[in-house]
Amino acid sequence: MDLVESLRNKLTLVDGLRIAALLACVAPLAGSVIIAVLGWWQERFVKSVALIAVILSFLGGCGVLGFYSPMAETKRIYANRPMESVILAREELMILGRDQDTVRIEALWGLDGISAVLVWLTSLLTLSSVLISMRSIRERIQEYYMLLLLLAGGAMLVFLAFDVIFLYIFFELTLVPMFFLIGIWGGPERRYAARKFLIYTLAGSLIGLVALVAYVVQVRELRQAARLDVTVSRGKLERPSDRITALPDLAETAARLSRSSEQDSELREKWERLQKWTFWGLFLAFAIKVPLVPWHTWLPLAHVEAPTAGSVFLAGVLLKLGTYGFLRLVFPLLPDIVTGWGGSLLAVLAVLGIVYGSLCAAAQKDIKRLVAYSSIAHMGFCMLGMASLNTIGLAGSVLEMINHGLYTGGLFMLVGAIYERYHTRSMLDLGGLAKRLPVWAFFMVGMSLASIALPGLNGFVSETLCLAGMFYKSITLSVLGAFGIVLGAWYMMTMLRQVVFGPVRVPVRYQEEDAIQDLDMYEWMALALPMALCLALGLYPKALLDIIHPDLEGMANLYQMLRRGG
Amino acid sequence: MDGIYRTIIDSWKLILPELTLLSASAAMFVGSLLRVPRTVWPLVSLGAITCGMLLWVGEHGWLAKDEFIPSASLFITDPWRWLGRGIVYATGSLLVLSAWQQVSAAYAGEYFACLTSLVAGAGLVVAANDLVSLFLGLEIVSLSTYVVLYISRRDLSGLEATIKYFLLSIFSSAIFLFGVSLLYLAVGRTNYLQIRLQLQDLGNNPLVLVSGLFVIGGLGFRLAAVPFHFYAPEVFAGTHPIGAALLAVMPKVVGFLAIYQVLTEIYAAAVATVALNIQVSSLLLLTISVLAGASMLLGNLGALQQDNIYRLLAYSSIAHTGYMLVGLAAGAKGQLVAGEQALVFYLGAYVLMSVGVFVGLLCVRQGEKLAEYIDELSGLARSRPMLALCLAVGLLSLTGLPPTLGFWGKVLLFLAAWNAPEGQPTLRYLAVFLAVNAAIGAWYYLRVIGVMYLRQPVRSYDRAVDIPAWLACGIGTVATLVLFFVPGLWWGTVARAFSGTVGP
Repeated sequence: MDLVESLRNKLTLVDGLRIAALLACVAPLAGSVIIAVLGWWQERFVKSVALIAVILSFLGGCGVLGFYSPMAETKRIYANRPMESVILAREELMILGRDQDTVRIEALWGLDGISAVLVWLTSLLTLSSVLISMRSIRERIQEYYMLLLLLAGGAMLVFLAFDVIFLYIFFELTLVPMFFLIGIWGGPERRYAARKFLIYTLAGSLIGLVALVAYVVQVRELRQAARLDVTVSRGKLERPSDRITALPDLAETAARLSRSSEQDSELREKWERLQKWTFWGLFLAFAIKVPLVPWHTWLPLAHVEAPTAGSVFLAGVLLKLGTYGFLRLVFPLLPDIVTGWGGSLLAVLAVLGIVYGSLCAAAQKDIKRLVAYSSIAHMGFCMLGMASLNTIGLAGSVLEMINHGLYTGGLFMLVGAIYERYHTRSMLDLGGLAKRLPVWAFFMVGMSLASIALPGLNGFVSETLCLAGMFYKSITLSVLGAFGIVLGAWYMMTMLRQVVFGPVRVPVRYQEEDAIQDLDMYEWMALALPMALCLALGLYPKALLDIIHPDLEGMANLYQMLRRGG
Repeated sequence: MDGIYRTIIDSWKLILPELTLLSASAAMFVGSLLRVPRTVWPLVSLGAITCGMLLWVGEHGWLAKDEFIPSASLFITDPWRWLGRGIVYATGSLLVLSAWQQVSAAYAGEYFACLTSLVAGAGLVVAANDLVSLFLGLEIVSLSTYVVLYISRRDLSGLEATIKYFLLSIFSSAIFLFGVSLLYLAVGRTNYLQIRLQLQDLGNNPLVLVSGLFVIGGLGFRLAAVPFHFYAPEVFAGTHPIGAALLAVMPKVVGFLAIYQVLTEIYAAAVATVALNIQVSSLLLLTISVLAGASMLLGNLGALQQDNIYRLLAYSSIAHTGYMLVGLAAGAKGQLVAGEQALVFYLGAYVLMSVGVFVGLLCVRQGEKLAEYIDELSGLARSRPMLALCLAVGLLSLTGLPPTLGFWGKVLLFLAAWNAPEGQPTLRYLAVFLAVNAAIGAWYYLRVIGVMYLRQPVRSYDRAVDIPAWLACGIGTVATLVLFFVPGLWWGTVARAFSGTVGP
């Protein structure tokens, strides 16, 4: 007992958080390596190793939330400093420059409320993806699980990276496993879809990299020119860090530059020009990833061709990388642009995405395609909330990332289940499935209602918050965006009426009553957790809101200050 | 006078590693008449390189002696040369490993003798402090390369490739020599330091600029920089993969270190137009920028259309010459990253990843038949997974994608060009151009990876074990991956060497 007691005294919350975060991201990566090594001679272990890895990872993800939530409250004290995070680890990579004038390139791993909830979401969806793949993936299973786990680990590391280089690296790295997942285990058009996905996102992110590197270098010069190098803060001389790639430092420098350039017109001009160019580079990178209309054309194709788990992961996590990129890089690093025309541009594009995505979804006969287009609309809500730049909208936006992951992930799993059973996804071939597959129908209705934003389910909370946030900025855009909910109800309900209810209509081969089994154990488990969370977060969203709120408040305060100053 | 005398007498100590290699090579030529097992020759070669490396590591002691007079010595050792020679020996040993089992027993003696002397010549080039010793080193490299190319593949296409390379290489040597002779005409000296002193007093002399252009042209052949690149695709495709691997890395290491040497130690001192205060070196750097842009673009566009994997890699090596020339053009004044350091960093990375790819391809074989076309690699991920993984890592690194060393290489080159001193706006465009080209390059590298991973296998390949080649491939692959996570190891070494400290 003494040992436990002394350990409890020694281990702080931060240590717990470190261990949990490490478990969450290392478990899938380690699982991937074990599968790569072991699988050559013992293929039957592959599934169990993958399952154990993702369960551990999910425990780690829950641990991250659990250990972080008591800390969230104390962070309110620092709410005025942008991107205050819990540092998990740092590693020095290179020292550049000469003599006294050196800078450090450092890998910085941290965690704040936003990354905590996203890590948790990723670990949850990884668990579901592995469960849903247990039956459906039958060939090359070793490579499959290797890539899936690699993808999960890489995505989590994006959320934990607090320096631009590693954030970018892991952002980019997630492309590779996804490319193979679509290209090897996808549908008939898989190769074209995989290539289009890769080229689109790679082109975007390479431009983003150029913008980012140029920004990092130029900001340093501007900082020197503006003599922000030595500042007095909280009564003592503070030398700025030489870590040019650390995100918190960059965000703070950007805020200071914006504030101090108000008096200095020459500096102002330079700083605004830099922000403008960087904005276009980063905008392109993340607009393709989110995707914002008109850069969305890769998405329906990739979703339709990807295997079920690939779709789940693509919608649930990879699209979030785009919105996360906006929230983490574009918004803090380019404050003047986003409070100015950049924010308006994003808001307009978001509304365009909502309306266009919904209309496209309404026109689809293929259910998977319908869900894919509805994703575009939902990501539009997410961007709309973010572009409002106030705490309400930002909170709605982050919550929408989580919620969209839960119900769209669920919908893709359900569509995948149907395709496996009836080998069709067309609404014309299917009908009245509630009579044949009651459990499936229950989940389908539940997930669809969450996606429609029915009050009491999670979609309602986040989309209302997004619209409410935008209401403070532009009533017109907010009203236009609200049409998305109406349209969403229309296309989802039409789909439900056709497929789930009404007279039974299935392909001829499966006419007999018990030709097809309802959801099996694995699918049931994969779906139950997201469904339960859809309900729980609809009834008690405060659980997550409390965690993300302090960080968003800090961001919103900064923008308010800048807008007032300007 | 005593100092000069001692310097001349002792200068052989400066090239002790190269002398060791050359004597080993001579002994192997004689010994190749004997009938001994094939494995003896690569072992001797590797042993000689190891001895050379030991002497090289111990070379700190001879540096910076008080009585050493640089203006009298044919060779010199300073920190960056020390590092450069290290790269040469390391590249040499990887090449020996990869050729270990590939050369027929009848010619193994000559092959490895030539490879050893090639490494020695490359070392001499790096250590040179005099135009004569530079040319001597370059010719030793060229002569050995001809023989190595011919021995490794002795059919018609191998012969054709060798002849092509031979003729163009002779031509490039002549151009180089012409440039050197023009310089000699202008200053009448061959020692670098003496030339430098003369040039400072010389003032305006067009000969210097012209000679610089010829020297860059002559060395540009070795780098396969556009417009001196025509031979590369033909020769890469015609010769044996070990020959292609050698051509992909060794001439680049030699050529870049030689160009850097000549630019900084000779032409940096020359003034083109006194009135306008334009430096010869800045005109030459502008030329290099143009070569860099052209090499990147044409290399990448050429590679887009290839079906033969070796032709593709040849064009990719042209493009990589372009990337590295960007570093050279960025010069030493970069605020964060000096161009030459980025160049040498990339050079090391390039050697590792090229060896990984070429030696990996070497292992894709069925008896004597090697894979030549990209389609033949179909489904390699299923038939030979580890091999496909090594190739994929190498190709990703050539693309410049994480998690490979190539990523840091491209980032540093970009930073060097972007952050070059004011007054050189062309370099910013060049930096952006580099990024655009990296994106073009991604298409054809990823296409090869796609073929290996996404298609069904069409042919089966031998599972024969070529342990030394595997070792070389493994070293290249593992180092490419590991150094991504600890780039500071390699970067620190490079940065220290150029700031004047020897040692890892």
